[in-house]
Amino acid sequence: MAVREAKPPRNERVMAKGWIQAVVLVSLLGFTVLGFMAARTYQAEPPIPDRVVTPSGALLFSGNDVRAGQDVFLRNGLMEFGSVFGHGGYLGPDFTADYLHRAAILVETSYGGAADARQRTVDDFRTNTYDGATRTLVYTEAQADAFESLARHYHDFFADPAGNHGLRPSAIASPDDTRHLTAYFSWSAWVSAAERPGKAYSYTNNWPPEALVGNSPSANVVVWSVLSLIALLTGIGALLAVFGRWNWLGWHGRDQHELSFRPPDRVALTHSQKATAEFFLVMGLLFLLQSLVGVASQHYRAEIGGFFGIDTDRFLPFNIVRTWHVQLSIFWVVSSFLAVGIFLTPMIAGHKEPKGQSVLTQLLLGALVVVVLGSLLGELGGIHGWFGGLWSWFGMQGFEYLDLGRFWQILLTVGLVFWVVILYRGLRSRLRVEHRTNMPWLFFYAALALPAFYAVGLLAHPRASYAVADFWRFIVVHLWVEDFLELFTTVMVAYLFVLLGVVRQRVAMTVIFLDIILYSSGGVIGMAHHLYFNGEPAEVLALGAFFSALEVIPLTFLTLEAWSFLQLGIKQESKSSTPFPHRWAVMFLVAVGFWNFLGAGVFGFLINLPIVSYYEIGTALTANHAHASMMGVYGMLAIGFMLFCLRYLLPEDKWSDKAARISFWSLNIGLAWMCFVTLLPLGIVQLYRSVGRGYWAARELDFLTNNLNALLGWMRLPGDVLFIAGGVLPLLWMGFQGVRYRGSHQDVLDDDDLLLFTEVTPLPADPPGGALIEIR
Amino acid sequence: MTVHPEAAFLSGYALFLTVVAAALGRLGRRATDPWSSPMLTASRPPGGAASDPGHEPGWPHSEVPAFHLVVGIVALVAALLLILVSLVRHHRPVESVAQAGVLLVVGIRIARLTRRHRAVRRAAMLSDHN
Repeated sequence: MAVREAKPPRNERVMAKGWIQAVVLVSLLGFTVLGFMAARTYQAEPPIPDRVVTPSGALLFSGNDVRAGQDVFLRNGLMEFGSVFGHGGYLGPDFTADYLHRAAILVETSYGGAADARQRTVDDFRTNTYDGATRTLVYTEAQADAFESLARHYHDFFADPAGNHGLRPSAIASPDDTRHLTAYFSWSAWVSAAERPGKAYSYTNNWPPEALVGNSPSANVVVWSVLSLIALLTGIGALLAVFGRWNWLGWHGRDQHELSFRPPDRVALTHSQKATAEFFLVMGLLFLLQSLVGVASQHYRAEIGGFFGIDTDRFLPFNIVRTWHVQLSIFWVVSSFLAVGIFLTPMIAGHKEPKGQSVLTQLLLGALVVVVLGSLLGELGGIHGWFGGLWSWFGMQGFEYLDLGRFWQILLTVGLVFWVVILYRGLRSRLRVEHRTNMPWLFFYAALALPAFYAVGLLAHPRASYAVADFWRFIVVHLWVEDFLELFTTVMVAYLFVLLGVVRQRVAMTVIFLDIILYSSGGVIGMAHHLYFNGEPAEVLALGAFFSALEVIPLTFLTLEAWSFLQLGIKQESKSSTPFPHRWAVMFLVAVGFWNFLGAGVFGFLINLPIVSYYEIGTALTANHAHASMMGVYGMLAIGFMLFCLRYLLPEDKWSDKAARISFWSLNIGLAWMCFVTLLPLGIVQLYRSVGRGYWAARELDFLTNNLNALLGWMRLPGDVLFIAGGVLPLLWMGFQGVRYRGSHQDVLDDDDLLLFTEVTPLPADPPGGALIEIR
Repeated sequence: MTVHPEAAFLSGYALFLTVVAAALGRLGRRATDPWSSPMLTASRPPGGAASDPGHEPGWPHSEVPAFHLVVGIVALVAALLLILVSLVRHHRPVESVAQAGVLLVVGIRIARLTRRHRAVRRAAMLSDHN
């Protein structure tokens, strides 16, 4: 009888049960409420009538025309040019507000333009004439005439052979397509003004602000703004009181052990770690490309007619360069995250990697390059109609941030799963001996969440109704980017400090658990702050407003505690007999702290209240928040991770502190310049106009390209040049050097070759096994 | 005689950036352990600071004041440029006087923050060498 080999005992649980229970409870609560919101989205979405008719019963357009209009909108990348329901690009108009305003003027004019004409117009738009039994919507004669006029107007706009509005000339020439588009815009305008059955506000909570149809902030918009402010102030006060007064986390002034950092060239690297050098070169290239197309998209606001006399709209129209800018912002950041995950795995595992890891890593890089190039070219081909009926699979799927075709989207998801498999292979022997709530497992769970939540974006199908598609889209835009990337980031940063020996595993795990609790309590439900005005019911607005205000609390708190966390690091650094090798990686973390507070916290909260969002959604204030938080937080993190890895990949004599310093200051100064000179003032001007004249006026092309706005656009140029030349190019150079010299590093011969520090003194409070357990 | 709305907006915005820069300058003066801030007195245990009171900030905390000051200076240079451009575009007497006043305020703040930045850099370098 064969004797079964005994399983090795698992290391004991590091965190107390209370922490684990709290994480499970808060996460369960968050996702239960999220599930409730998903159900309400399906139940309460605005109906798409089967038929929209005149009072005499003549068909104006059908439900299929509306759906076909959404197809035309998406496959031509119009969501990256303008927007519907406030969501999308910032150059073109918001077509919901634009149609509503134009139609209201036409209707009011048809009624003679006198005082009672205004009231009749309001009545026409606010009275809900949709019959659920017959699925028929009746427009008044004046509304029907307005529809016909606007069908001609939009045809002239999209089929214009001269271009000059950021789209390619004759972008959509087919009269059928432009009529379908008009039907789609008309439906969205109807949704935004017609009152929900039994309610005194429209399907979009009275958005957009439009006096001509009586759209003004609903009671929900005002009341939940006030309540969310109170929640914020109370929450911050309570948190500061509890954590400051009783010092719950208890990491101030602890950790007395001494250590010595190993010089980077004495740390051996595995083959897969060396292979990550290529990821960083690709990351640098993608970052450069993203910045260049960002400049091109910004240039359209300064000079709508072309690029210094070149008609760029013929081959690189605004909707394409913005699509690429948005998609590449995810691609290059994710490239860094994938690479650093692979890089850290052998260090976490604490021993040599299994065979084939390096090959798998290179396969993953190849797949990433294929997905990036394929999806970008597909988007370009998509707006030219290269893919016929398969446009949503290989061309431009068209949802902002999920622009890539579904084929590429699935490949990317598979690639992320493949990455998790690589991590699992590397970690397997370590996971086997660790309690399932200890740090190596947290690292694995956080990695596993990335493909899982990215895959949710597949539910945002082009044929789904707008509110439903938008709900799933924001699971990716918000929950994936803002919560699960944040979680993975926290785990990786905490692990970096553990691997470097500057904090103990228990301290790092406390940070991770706290992060999960705080972000889950606000961030998961707070996702609904994107859904205030897109056709979701008022309870989603209320939940979004209340819980997203709570999101600022962890931002504030973790900014405060991040310093205490770093403080531990410097205490250890001062004790080390060898210099700390990651000066510039940590400086980028310092920048992350600043931008997390300013970009995500201040600029985010500035636009978060429903009453502010009501007027500013889709203006440069949103772009201001997006740039300061996406580049300021995730961009700086990705670069910090890159520098951490390159410090080991590059031989000592090839490492350049100067290049890292130049890049650090250029990126931060360039980003601050971008916000202070262009995005913030432009957003303020737009907000003022939106409140004063109406949302449509803040988004109209003539206003966006007027003298002042064009001037603000031009003034961004020095900052952008500094950002690219001083910030991006040195990183690209370092990435290139990493590939060039990656083979010169010694291979791992012994497990101890992977350690990043030595001379660890035993810690009395540590679990059995001593310091070695702490660092692995 | 009225000031052109564009000049009024840019002047107001430049002054706002001056306030932002001043706030960043003040942040740069404080210890980087935020729990030691007087604002959080009520949140600390009675009779003591949450952090080590005698601790001299070392790296990377020594870099933080410089970082805040640089971002503050960027805000001020942005303000300066915006006002200069506005002055070129709108220079009737009353507009010129108003914008020159703002320019003066911004200029003084730039000089002060730049001096502070130099002092902070010197202190950080000394701290690094020690």
